[in-house]
Amino acid sequence: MNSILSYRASFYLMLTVAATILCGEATDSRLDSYLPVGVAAAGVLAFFTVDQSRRWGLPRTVANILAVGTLGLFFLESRPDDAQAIRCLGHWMIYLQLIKYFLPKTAEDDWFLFLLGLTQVLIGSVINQGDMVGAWLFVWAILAVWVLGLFFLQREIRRFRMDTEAGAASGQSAQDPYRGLFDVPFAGTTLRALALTLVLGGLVFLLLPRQVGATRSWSSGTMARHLTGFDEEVKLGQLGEILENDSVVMSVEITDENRTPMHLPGEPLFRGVTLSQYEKGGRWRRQVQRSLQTIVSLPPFRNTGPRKRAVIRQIIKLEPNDSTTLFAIRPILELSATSRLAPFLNPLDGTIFRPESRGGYDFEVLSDASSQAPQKNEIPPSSDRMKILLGMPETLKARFRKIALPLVQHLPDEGTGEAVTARARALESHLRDSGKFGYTLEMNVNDPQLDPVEDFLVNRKKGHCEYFASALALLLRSIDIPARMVNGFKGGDWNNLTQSMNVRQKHAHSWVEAYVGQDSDGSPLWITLDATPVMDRDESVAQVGGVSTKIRPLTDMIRYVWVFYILGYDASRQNRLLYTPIKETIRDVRRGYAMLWSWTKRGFAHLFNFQSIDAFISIKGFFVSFIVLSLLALIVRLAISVGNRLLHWWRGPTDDSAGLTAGILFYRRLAQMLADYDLERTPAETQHEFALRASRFLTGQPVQIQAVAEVPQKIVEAFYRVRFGHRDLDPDTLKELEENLDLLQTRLNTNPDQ
Amino acid sequence: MGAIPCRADRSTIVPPGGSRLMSADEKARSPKSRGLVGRIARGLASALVPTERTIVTREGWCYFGVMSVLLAAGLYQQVNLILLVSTLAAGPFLTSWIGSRALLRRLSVVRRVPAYVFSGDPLVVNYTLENGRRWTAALALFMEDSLVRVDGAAPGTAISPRVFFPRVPGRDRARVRWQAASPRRGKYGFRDLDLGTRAPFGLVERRVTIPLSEEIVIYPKIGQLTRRWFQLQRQASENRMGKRHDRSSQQEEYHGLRGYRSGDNPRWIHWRTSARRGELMVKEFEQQNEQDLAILIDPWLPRTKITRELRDAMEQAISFAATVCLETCRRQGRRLILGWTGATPEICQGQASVKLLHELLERLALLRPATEGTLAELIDTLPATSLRHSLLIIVSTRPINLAEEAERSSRLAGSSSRNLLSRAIVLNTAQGELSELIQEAGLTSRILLEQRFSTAGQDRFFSQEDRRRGVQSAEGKAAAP
Repeated sequence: MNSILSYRASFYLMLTVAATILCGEATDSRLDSYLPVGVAAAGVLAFFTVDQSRRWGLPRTVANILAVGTLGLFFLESRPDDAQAIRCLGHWMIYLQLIKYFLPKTAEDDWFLFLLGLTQVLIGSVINQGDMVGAWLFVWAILAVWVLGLFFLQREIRRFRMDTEAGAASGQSAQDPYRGLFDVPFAGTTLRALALTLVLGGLVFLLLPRQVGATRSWSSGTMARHLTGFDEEVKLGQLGEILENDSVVMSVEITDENRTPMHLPGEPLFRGVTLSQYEKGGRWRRQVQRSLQTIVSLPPFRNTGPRKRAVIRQIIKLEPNDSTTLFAIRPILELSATSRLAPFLNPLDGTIFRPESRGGYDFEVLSDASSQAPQKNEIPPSSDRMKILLGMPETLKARFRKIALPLVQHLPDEGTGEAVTARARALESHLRDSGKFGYTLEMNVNDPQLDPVEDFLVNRKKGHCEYFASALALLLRSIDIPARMVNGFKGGDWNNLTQSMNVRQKHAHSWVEAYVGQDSDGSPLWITLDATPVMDRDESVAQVGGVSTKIRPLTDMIRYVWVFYILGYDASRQNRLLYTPIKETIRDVRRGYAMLWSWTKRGFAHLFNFQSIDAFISIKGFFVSFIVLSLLALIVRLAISVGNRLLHWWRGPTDDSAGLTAGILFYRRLAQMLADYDLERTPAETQHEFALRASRFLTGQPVQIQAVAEVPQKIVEAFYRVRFGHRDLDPDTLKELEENLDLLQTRLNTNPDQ
Repeated sequence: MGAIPCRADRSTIVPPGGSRLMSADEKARSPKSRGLVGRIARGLASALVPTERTIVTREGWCYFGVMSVLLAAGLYQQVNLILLVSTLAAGPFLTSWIGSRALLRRLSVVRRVPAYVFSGDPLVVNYTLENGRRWTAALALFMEDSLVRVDGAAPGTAISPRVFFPRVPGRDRARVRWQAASPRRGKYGFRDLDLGTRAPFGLVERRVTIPLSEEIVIYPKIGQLTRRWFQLQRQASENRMGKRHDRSSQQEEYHGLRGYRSGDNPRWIHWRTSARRGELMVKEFEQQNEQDLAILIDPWLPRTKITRELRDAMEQAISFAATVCLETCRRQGRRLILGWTGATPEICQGQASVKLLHELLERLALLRPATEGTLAELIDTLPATSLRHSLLIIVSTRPINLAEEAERSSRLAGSSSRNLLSRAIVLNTAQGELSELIQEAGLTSRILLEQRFSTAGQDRFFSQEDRRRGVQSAEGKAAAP
C-alpha cells in the first residue's frame, strides 16, 4: 500500500467527516444533506485527477475567481436569516475547501485544508449537539490523528528533498520512500499513539478548570426538530405520531437534595404543556401566549423549618427542539439553568418554559416529592379562567354528563376538596380500571358524525393516552369540575449503570389535572389524574424501538457520558468526578500514614523500653538487637548498592582497558570492512567460522589480496582473547592488528575488480 | 629548531577512516580523561548542556497557537464541545512531547569516514542507522552532523551533513551516503552527531546528541607531474654526479637473468645468453637506492595585502610538493625529506613508503603560510647527509637567491655551498614556474593515488622506460640545432 496515496485518501475522508459534523443535524436544510456527499465525491474526483497529475489541476486564476465567487454564495445564503450566519460561514469554508481540492497541493495547502476542516468541526460542534455529532467527532478525532501522522511523514520527505515531484504526481507509479510501512508493528504503534493521544486529550478536557455551569452551545440558530404535541394547538390524536418514535427528548439525572442519585418508584410524570380550551372536533388549545401577562422566576428553595420536605432534584438535558416548553415533575420548588437565558414559570398553569426555542437546553429542577402538593407561585384560576377550564360544547356537555353522573352519583356532592377528588377519582377509575376501555395506537373512527372523544367514549372504547385524557377532562367538566389536559412524558428508559433516565418521544403521555380548590394559604390545589390503562400502555411503549432496545443499556450509557460528562461537564461534575475523590484519597492516605506512624512509634517505644541494662539480656532484648542489627545490615547493603550505582554513573560507560575495547573495535572494523563485500556473519556462525569464510573469500581474490587473507583470522583470534579470554592486548599486538587492518583496507580498496 | 620525528597521528583504538558506532542510549562521556577536575567539568557540562533536547518546531508553534486560541475560546465561553475539540487537538502535541523519547530508543549510529580525503575530491561519509528494536520500525529519523576546522586556521564555512532515514525496520539497519565537495586542506573534526526525529506528528522535534566526534585530514590536492619535471630532475641529478650515467643503472641495477615471460620488454632480452642457452633470457633489474630527495617549501606570504594570486601560488606549491612526495613514495628505499620555513622551520623525513607519504601529506595539509623565517634557517635544520648528497627541490612563493641563502647558512662551507647549488632546483610559484611541471589530473586525487600505488610494481619497468624515452627525446631535442 502506497503511503502517499493512503495519506491523500485519508485526508479526503477526514475532510468529508468534518463536513458531516458541520451539516450534522440539518433537518430542514437540503443543502446540508447534500454537502457531505458533494465533499466526498469531490475528494474521489480530486484523488483520481489532480493528485495523479498536476496538469489536471485548476489554473490559479480560475481558482481565485471561484474563491471570490464563494463570497457571493455566502452573502446569498446568509441574507435571508442572520441567525444562520455561522452555519453559512461553515458552508463557505466547504466551498473554499472544494476549490482547494482541485489545485496541486503543497504542505502549506494541506495545512490550510486541515485548518478548514478543523474550523468546520468547530462550527459543527457549536451548532450541533446531537448524539451523532458526538460519534462523528470521535471518528474525526481518530482520522485527524492518523492523517497528522501520515502528513508528517510526507512533510519530512519534502523537507529532506527526497520527494520526487514526478513521484508525487504519478501516484501509484511513484516510488514510495516508506515501502512496507503498513505492517503489523506499524498498526500496533499507530494504535498506541492513537490511544495515547485520545487519552491525553481526554484527560486535559477533564482537568481544565470549569465554571459552575456549562453551556452546551451558543444560540446557534439551528433549525431543530419539531416536537409534536407541544404546540399552541393540539389536534386529538396528534400525540400518537410521536408515540412510535424512539428518539431521545431529554436525559434526566434524578437525585435527592444532596445530589445522591436515586431511582424513583414508578414512572415520574414530566409535565409539559397544559391544554385548557377544548373545541369541537377534538382540538385542544393552550392558553394563548397573549394571556401570559405575568411570568415569574422561582426564588431559591430553602428546605428549612421543623419538617424537611422530601424533594426530587432533576438535572435535565433537553435535546434541541423547536418548542419553548420545558418538562419537570410537579410541583416545582426551584428552577435554574446554566444558560444565561433563565427558565420561567407560568403562574397561570404552573408550566415552565424557556425564553427561546431551538437548540438544546440544560436546566435543573427541584420538585416536591408529594405530587399533590400545591405548585409554588401558581395563582388560583380567576372566574374567566374557570370558564375556560369548564368550557366544552353544550351539546357535548349534556351527553358527557349523562355518562358521568351515573358513575359519581353515589358520591357526595358537597363541593369540598375531598368530595371533588373522590368524584374525579371515580371517573378516572372508570376509564382506567373498568376494563371497558383498551389501549391502542391505531386511529380508527367508528362514527365520523360524533365528536372524536365521544366516539372514543361511546363506540370505539380504544385509543391512546390522549383520548383517555381528553375523555376524562371532558367528563370532569361535564360534572362541573374544572379540569385541564396535560401533555408531557411519563417515565423513561432507566439505566442502572448510569443511574439516569433517557426520556424518548415514545414516552410522551397525556393526563389530566383537576382543580379541587385552594389550600389554607390560598394556593390552588390540583390533583393529577391518569386515566390510561398502565399495563397496556407499557406494553405498547416497550414494543417501540425494535432491535436497538437490545443494546439500549450500552447506547444509553454512551449517551449519558456524552450528554453529562462531555456536553454538560461543569465544575460540580468535575468536583464529583475528580477533585473530591482525589481529596478524599489524599486524606485517607494521610490518615493511614499517620496511623502507621503512630503504631510504629508506639511499637518502638514499647520495644526499646528497658528499665535497666540487665533487662536487655532477655528474649525481648534478643529480638530488639536482632531487628536493629538486621536493619543496620540492610541499610549498609543498600548504601553499598547505591554507592556502586553512583560510582557506575560517575564513571560513565565501561571504558576499560585499551585492550578490551580495542580488540572488540578491531573486530567491528573488520566486520564493517567485509560487509562492503557482502561478507556478513550469519547468526548461526561463530566469529571464527566467519573469519575462515572471509579468508577463503580473500584467497580467491587477486594476488595482492591473497597476501592478506590471513588477517581476518588474526583479528578474530585477538577478539577471542579479549572477549572470551579476558586478556589485555599489549601495545605491539594492537599496533600489529592496526597495521594488518590498514593493509587489508588498502588492498581491498586498490582491488581493480571492485 | 630540530627535526620532529614523524608519527602517525592515529588513535590506537579507532583509526581515522574507520567507523564509529554509538548507541543513542549511551551517555555522552569520554572515557579518556579520568581526572577529578575533568570529571566534574564533564558532569557539569553534561548537566548544563543536556544531550537530549526537545524542540517545538515552527509548525508545532503554529499548531500550539491555534490550539491555544480554541482553548481560550472554549474556556471563555465555557462551551464544552469547543473545549473538547481543543483538547483533542492538544492530544497530538502532548503525545509528541511525551512519546518522542521512545522513538529514539535502541538505535545505534555508525559514521564511516574515509581515512583521508584530498582537497577538491568528493567527501563521502556513510551514515548507518541500526534499529535494535524487535518489531517497531524507526520512522523518519534524521542525522545532523557538523564538520569544522580544528587545526587553528580560519574556520571558514562549516559543513553540515544531513541525512534522512525514512524507515528502518526492526532489527535492521540502513545506510545513507552523504557526499559533497571536500573543503580546503587542513584538519577537520566531526562534532558530536545529532540523531533526531519529529515523529509522530512533526510538531515536536526530539534530538539526541551522540558523542561521536572524530577527526579527518584533508590532504592537499594532487596533480600529475609532467615530463618536463622528470627531465629537470634528471638534469639536476646528473649535475650532482658531474657526468652522465648509464641509463639502465641510473635508477635500476642489473640483478640477474631469467626466462622470458610474455609481456616482457624485448629490450631486456639478453641476446648473448639467449643464444648460448637456446631460449630467450631477459635481464632482471633490482631497484637501487636512489639519491635522497629533499623538498623544501617556503610558504611565505606577506603580513598584509595578500593577493588571491599569491595565496593560490602557495597552495600550488603545497600541491606540487604533495605530488612529488607521492611520486617519490611510490617506490621504497629512497630517503625523502620534507621541510618548510617558518618561525621555527621544521622537517619531516623517512624512508619512502606509503606510511611516510601519509605523514607528509598530513604535514602538508596542516602547513600554514609563513610570514617570517628564511630558507637559510631551514637549510640549517637539514641533516648533514642531505646537505651533502640530496637533491634539493626548493619551492617558494617569493624569489629565492640560493647562493645568498647558502652563504647565510651557518652549516655550509664554501665548497659544500657550491655543491648544494648544483643539486638544487629552485622554483618560484608566484612566477608561474610550476605551471609546466605539474598539471591537473583528469581523475580525482584519491583515484590517482590508488592507481599510482596499485601499478607501482607493474609499471616499474615501463615507467623507467618512459623516463628513459623522455631522456632520449630530450637529448634528441637538445642535439637538434
